[in-house]
Amino acid sequence: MGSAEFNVPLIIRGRLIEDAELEFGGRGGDVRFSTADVRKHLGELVLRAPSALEDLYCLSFGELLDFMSELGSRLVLERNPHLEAAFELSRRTSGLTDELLRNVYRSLPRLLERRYLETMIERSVGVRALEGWVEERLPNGARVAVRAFGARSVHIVAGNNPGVSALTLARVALTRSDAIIKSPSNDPLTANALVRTMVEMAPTHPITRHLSVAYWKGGDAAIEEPLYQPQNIEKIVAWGGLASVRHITRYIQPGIDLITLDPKLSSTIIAAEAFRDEPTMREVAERLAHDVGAGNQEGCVNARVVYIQTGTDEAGLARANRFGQLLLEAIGALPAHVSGPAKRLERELAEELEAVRLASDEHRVFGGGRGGAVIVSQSSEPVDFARLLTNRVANLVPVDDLETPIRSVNAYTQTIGIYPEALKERIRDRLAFHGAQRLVSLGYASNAGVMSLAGPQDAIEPLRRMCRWIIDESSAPELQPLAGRLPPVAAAGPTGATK
Amino acid sequence: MSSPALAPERLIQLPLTELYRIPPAEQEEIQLAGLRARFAELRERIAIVGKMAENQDVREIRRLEDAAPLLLPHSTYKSYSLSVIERGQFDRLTRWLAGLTSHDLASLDATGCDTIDDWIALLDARTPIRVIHSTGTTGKLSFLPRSVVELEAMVTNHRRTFDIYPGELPRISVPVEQAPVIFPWYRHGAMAYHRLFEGMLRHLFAGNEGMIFALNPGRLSADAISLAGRLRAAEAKGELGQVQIAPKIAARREALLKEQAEAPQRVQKFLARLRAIEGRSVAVMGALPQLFDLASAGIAAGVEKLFDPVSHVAAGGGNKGRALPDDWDQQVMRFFGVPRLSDGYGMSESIASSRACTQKRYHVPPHVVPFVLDPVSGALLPRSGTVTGRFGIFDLNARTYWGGFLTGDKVTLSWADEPCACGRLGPSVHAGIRRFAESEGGDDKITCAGAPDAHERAVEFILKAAGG
Repeated sequence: MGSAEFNVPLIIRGRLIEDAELEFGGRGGDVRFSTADVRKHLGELVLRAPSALEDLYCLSFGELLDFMSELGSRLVLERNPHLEAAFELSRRTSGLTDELLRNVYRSLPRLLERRYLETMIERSVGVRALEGWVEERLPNGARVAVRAFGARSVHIVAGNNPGVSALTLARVALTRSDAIIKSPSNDPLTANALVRTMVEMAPTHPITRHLSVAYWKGGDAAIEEPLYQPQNIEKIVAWGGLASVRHITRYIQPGIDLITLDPKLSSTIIAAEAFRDEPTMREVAERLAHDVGAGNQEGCVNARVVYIQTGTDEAGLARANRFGQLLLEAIGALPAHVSGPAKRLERELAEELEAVRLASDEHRVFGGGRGGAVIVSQSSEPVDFARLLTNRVANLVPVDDLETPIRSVNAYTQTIGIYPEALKERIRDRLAFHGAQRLVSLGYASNAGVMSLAGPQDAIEPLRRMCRWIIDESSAPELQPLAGRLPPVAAAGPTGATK
Repeated sequence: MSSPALAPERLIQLPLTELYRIPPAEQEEIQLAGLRARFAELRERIAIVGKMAENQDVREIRRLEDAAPLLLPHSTYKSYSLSVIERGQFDRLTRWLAGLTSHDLASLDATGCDTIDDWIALLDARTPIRVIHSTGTTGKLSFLPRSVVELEAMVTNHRRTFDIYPGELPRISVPVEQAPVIFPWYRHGAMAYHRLFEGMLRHLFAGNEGMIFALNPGRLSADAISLAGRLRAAEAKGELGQVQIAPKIAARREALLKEQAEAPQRVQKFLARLRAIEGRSVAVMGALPQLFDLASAGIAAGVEKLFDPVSHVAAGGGNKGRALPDDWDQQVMRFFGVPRLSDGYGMSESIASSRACTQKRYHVPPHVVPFVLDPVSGALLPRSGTVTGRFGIFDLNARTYWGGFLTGDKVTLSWADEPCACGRLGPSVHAGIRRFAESEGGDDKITCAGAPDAHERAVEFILKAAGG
C-alpha cells in the first residue's frame, strides 16, 4: 500500500466510502489510485426491492429537470474541486491534449441544460410515456395503456470522453432508473465528480439515492457474478471495449437485457465533385480534417478510412496524392480546442505506418509522428491496419466509382461522413442496408450535441431500451367475448382462383 | 588493433569459449566494422534499407549507436496488403518481397501461383530465397526473406548450442552430427524449424534423412496457417462472418479429412519409431504444446525415460493460446528421460540464439549487436551499466536481408562493463524476458507457439465451410 496517488471514493446512494483497501493502476501508465473493496459493499450497492424505485415516481418530470439543470450549473470546471481533480487526472491519462480536454470539461454543463434534456427525452421515450400511462383504443375495441418505467441498471461507461458520464447521469435520472455506474480505469474520477457534486447538493434526494459509482476491475467475477443477477438488475448498458462486452455476455440470462454501444469505426465517402478544382479540394480537406482530427481521433465517430472518387488512373492518383497533402495541412491547421498533436503515439500504428512507408509501393505516406499522417493508397484498397488508425492518421482510398465504398460498409461501421450533400440522400438507403448507422454531412461527424439529442445511437434507441415498457390491456365481455365463448377459427376457403 | 578484422559472418564459427573471450572493446570494433560493411553492401541493394537510411538521414555509420534508427519493426515483414493473399495476386507479393532482399526478383513470374504454398515452392525452386513465415496470430503471416547463404549460419548456430563450456553441463553426449533431431510436428514447411532442417540435412547429416524424426512426414501448409491466423484475428474482433477461403484451399478438404483421421495412428507410429532409437542422445525441439502432446501420449502408452539423460530438449515459444497443466515440464522430462529442459533465447528473425549460462543469463554473441531502447520514446538507452527496455538487434549473420530488427521483447540487459559471473565477456540479457503488451503491438513476433491449435481450427473451418 501507499504507492497510490489518490483515493477514488466508492459512492453508494449518497454515501461516500473513502476506504483505501485496493489499489489499481490507471491505463495512462503512471497513475495509481486506491479505492474501497466493492465486494464488501455489494449488499448496499444493489437495489434488492424493485419497489424502492417508487420514490422517483413522487417527482414530476419538471422536478427531475430542475434537479439535473441545477447539477449542470454546478459543473463549472474552475469552481468545482471534484471536477478539477477529474480534469487534472484526465490530463495525465487521456489521449486528448489539455486544450481539448479543458474544452470538453467546460462543455459538460451544456449537456445538462434544461432545454437540451427536454428535447432528448421528447425525441426518444417521449415525456408523456414517462409521466403516465398513454392510453389508446385498438381496432378490436380493447384499450391499451403504455408507460415507460425506469429499471435497475449497471452502466459501464467509456473512458475516452468525460461527456459519456454526464450523458449517462442524465439518461438515468430522467428515465427514473436506479444505476450503478462502473467507472473506467482510464477515467476513474469524472462520473465520481459528477455524483459527488450531486451528493453535496442534495444527499437525500431520490435521484442521489438511486445512484452509485464504483470502480472494480472489469471482469472481476467475485463482483460481477453476484451483481449481474436478474434479482438485482434488469439492464446493463456497456459502452465500448469488445473485451468488456465479452466479459458481460457470460452473465446474460433471461431477465437481464444487455444494451451494447459497441466499439465501432467510421468512414467517409467523398464523390468526384470535391476534386474539380483546387479551392474546392481545399474546402473539402478542411471539412474532412474535422472528421478525422476532432477529439484527436479517439472516438468511434472519427473518420479513418476515406474513400475519394478521384479515379485510379495516373491523373486520379495524382489528384488523390495532392488531396492527401491538403488534408495533412488541414489537420495541422485545426485549432487547439478541436484537435492537437498526439500526446502519445500508438506504437503499433506508428510501426505499421513506418513499415508501409518503407516497404510498400502501393501506398504513399504524408507526414508522420505527433502531427498526424495521411496514407494515400495507390489502389482501391484500405490498409490492413485500418482499425488501428488514431493519432490523426487517415487512409485515403481512391476509387473510380462509389460501388466500392458502399459495399465496404458493414455492421461495424458507425458514422459515414458524405460529400456532397446531395449524394447522402441518393445512397443512404443502400448504406443502411449494408450496416451503416449514422450518416452526416462531411465535417460534422463529431457533432456530439446533435448526436445525443437525436435519439438513435449505434442503430438502436438506448433511452427506449433503458426503460421497461409496461402495457395495461383493458377488455370486457361486451367489447370482446372471452375466447371460450367464440367458435374455433374456421379453415380458409380455396385461394388463388379469383385473381 | 590486435586481431585482423574478422569478417562478421565468420564469428559464429568460433567455439563459444573463444567467442566469449573476445575483449569487449574488440567485440565492438568487429561489430562496427560489420555494421559498416553491411550498410555499404546493402543500402543500394535492398530498397527498404536505402529508403530507411534516407528517411532517418543516416549517411554513414561512425558509431554503433548510428545503426539504432535502422532497426526494422516486425510489422515490416507483414507490410504487404492482405488482399494479395485473399485474391491470390502473388506477383504483387513478389514485388513487395523484392524490396526486402538483395536478390533480384525482377524476372520471377509468380502470376501462375494460386496459393502461398505455391509461391513459396516457386521461390524455393527458382531463387536462392528461403522464405520463413510466421504463425500470423494477428491475422497476417510475416515473410522473412532468408536465403541459402544464411541456412549454413543457422546450422552453425545450432552446432554452437552444443559447445562444451567450462562449468556447464553437456547438452548431448555425442557429436552433434550423431544426435538425431526429434520434432513432433510437420517435417516440411517454411517456418524457421523447417529451414533449419533443410540446412542440417545439407551441412550436418550429409543428406541422411534418417537423422530427422518428425511426427508428420508431410508439409505444413502456409495457407492453412494463414487462414488460422485470419480466423483467430476475426474472432478476436467479432468479425468471423467475414472470412473467406480461397477455392484452392477448400479443395484440399479430402486430404485434410484424411490427415485428421490418421492423426492418432500417426502418434503411435511415431512413438514406435522413437522407441527404435531408445537410449540415444538426441536433440528434441518444438513448440511447447507439441512437446507436451507427444509426452502425454507417450506416457499414456507406457513410454517413459526414452532417451539418454544427456539429451537436449528445448521447448520454444511459450504456451500462448493453450492451457497446459502446471506440471507440463515434469511430464515432458519424464517422457524424454532428461533431468532438465534446455534454456535459451532466440527468435526466428535472428540466426543467432543464446543458451542460458550458469547464472541464467543469455549472452549476446558478438556477431549480434544489441540495442536497448526506451519503450515509449524509442530513444536509445545508454550502452553501459544495466538497462531495461525494448530489445533491438543487428544480426551480422544476415547477408541478403537486413539484420536490423526491433523485437517486441522487454529485456533487462547488463552491458560489458558489468560482466557476468559465468566468465563470458560482453553484454548479457537477464532471465525474465517479457513480451510488451498486445496493445502495444508486441504480440506478433515470429514464433511457432500456438500454431498447432490454430492449425487444427483452420482445418475444422475449411471442413465446415467446404460442406459435407
